[in-house]
Amino acid sequence: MAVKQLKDFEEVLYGCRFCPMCKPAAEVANVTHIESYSTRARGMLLWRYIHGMTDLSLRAVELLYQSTLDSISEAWCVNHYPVSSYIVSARAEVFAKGLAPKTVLSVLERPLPKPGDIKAETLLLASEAAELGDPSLLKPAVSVLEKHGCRTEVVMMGSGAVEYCLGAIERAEELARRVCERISLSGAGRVIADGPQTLWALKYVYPILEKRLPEGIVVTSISEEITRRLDKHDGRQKGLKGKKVIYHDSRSACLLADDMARDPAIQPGFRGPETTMGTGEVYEAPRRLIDRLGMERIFSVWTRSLSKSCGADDALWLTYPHLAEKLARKRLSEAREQGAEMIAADSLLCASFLSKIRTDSDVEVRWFAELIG
Amino acid sequence: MLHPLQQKMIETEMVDTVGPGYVLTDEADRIIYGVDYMWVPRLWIDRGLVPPMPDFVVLPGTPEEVSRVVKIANVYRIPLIPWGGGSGSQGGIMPVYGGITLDMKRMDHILEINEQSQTITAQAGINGYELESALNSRGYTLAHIPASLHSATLGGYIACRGSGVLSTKYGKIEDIVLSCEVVLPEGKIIRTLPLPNHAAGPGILQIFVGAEGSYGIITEATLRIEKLPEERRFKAFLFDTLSKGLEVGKRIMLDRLQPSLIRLYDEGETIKRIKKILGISIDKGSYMVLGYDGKKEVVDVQERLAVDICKELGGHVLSDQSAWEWWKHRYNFYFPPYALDFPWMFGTMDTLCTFDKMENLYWTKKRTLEERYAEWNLEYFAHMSHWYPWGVMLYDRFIVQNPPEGANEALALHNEIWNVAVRTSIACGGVLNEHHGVGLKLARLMREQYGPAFKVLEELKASLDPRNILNPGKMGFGPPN
Repeated sequence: MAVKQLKDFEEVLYGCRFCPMCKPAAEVANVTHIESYSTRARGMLLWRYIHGMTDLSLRAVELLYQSTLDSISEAWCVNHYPVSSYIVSARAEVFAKGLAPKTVLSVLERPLPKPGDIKAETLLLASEAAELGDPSLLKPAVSVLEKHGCRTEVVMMGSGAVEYCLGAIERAEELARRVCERISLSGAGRVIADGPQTLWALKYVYPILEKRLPEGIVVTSISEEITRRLDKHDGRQKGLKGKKVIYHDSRSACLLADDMARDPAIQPGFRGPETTMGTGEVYEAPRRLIDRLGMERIFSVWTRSLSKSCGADDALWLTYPHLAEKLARKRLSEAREQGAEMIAADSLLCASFLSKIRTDSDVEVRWFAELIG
Repeated sequence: MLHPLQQKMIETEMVDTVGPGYVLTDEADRIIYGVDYMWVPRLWIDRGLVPPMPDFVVLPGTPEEVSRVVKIANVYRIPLIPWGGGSGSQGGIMPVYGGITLDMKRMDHILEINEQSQTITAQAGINGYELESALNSRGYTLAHIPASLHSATLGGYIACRGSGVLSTKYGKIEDIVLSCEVVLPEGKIIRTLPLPNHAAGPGILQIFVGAEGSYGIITEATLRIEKLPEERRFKAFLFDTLSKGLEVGKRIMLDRLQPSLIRLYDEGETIKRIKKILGISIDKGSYMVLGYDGKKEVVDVQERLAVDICKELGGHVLSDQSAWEWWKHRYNFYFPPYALDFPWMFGTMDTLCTFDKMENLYWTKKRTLEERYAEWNLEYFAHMSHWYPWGVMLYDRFIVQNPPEGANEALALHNEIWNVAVRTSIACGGVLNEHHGVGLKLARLMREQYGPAFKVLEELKASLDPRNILNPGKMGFGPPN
């Protein structure tokens, strides 16, 4: 597998170029209200571009970057057209032509992680924490894991997911290579990803970048690990029982779904019980834990593979923070409208970003591990 | 054509009105505002051409801002075209004379849900799906569920006199809307009377409903809402012939059995589309879905009587699952690759007539189009899906799988087919259109449809919009003065 060329998506772009059906899922378009941010507009732009009908102007490039990877449109589409993949390919082409915006290039100026020599049976790969630049954020997760007999060594390094999202493929490959090497040298048999974006990089992006983890290594997420261990213990925590919570699935989780399984019968105003709009442990583990804690989950259509971005996904919060902030505010106001007291997220990135933006909101935001730690 | 300097000067005024970030002038933004779901602007894109684009895209946030932009447009005599979701199939948003496209989507707030009277007041730019979701979460529905639900806006529903799949019970949007706030072509903000059923003179609400922005820009509306039905049922039948299915539908409607839905497909569509999309194995006959909504006891009685009619007239009862499959997958028809798309030429020519004329209309239109365009292998198929106490809508479509390659030749054939189709509908007692509107596509045929009565529309336009700046070139009206 390798990153496809944009022209390889000709057939998909042909279908997307006039199709307005995924508009409710078009995240940035819905917070800016501007049509040119829609999946249809992007499809039309890219289809015209690959046919030589238009150039990639400054604004066109900006439109390509002022977006998440839009995997929610991919999940929403009854045929799951690979929207996120063609955005990456388009950005890779932009990048290769030297047309990437300055704001994107500035994100890529960060130094590459140095080699390390940690030896451990279990590694906690802290890529989301590395993006946030704050190792202390991991404390609750590490302590919960330790409490339940899982000793981990923390490796703080970028996974390459951000670079991949931005189309900086060579740099993403280099980061992926370094991560694989570090894991290999550690002798670990298990790698726990500190969040869905890290897990997405390991399980989804690395095969595309043709970077291999050591043979037989087990890759899980922190929520899977914690929930699996707590299944054997009493995980109830005072003060959380009955609390109304919206569980926020990260955008990165979407493409980790065993099956995106868009329910063909999605009706407006869906309120639950939650149906299978995306299946797999990436969704189930955190839900099991929340249920175990006696919290009351609030449902909406926009859950699982249809979960809308909080802005912390796909590097948007680094490149165009004003748009990311709009998305975060929207999620917070939706949570309040639905009567939620809390948003809980499996992703450290999501939880941190929402927490940062929530200053004027009475909706509490908690990272998954903080619910127990 | 504006000089770039003057363009900048006007842009400054508009930025001053709506704020920075809400005036777009880059081609990468403007081009999408030249393309809706009509085949023609899509043809232009498909063939590598550039469709008519607005000079500016402006996103107002309040009715007052709309008013101020309208006044600016009047000062400079620039056309102004409202934009909702861009899902119209008639080219109603095409800026054929350039100008300002007014994207209404910033005005997307629900202002009030009045549970005592079951009404909702919302701004025109709210997305249909969002509106319906908000109502559903409170236990209500607008009961206006068009195929464009995901894309269209409330303003677009009203401006095009749209219809939803449950219109047979709940009515079209013109029946659902109670009042509107409108910005008139010279900038005045008005409100129609609070209710449509009055005797305080003629109802001016309906002047704006279906006017596609020619008489004013709808900024807000109050509409009737319904409780989410206690019971929702669907049954499916297969009839030997379309004629039998039509007779059944007619009997159900004349007996006032109030179905939420009767959807009767001709044999062509039954075989090609129903089988392909729903995976139901049917090789001949006409497929019908019959729906009932409401209180269980009422639904029990109405449905039983309707089913009796179906059986009496030879309807073969299919499994309930095959009916539910239609309901569950009803949007699949509009996603690629199921939706009609290029390289085909296609069009939906929906019309409406009384029951006594429908069979003749269907067969005459089918025969006329298929015979006249035999060299193009034109395919004609249809379903009937919006039923009235006195008649029914024909949702008929044509497909030409290999249209001319050249855009101009393809456009000429397209327009000729439409001329023939609409004239046939009108000659058989039908109307120009039932729920998609007029737009650019059918503008030239409005005078034929109305005859001398078109003067009423024309005089109204001249009086309200003396400079003809609101959506020029649509509805049979000419260029800006």
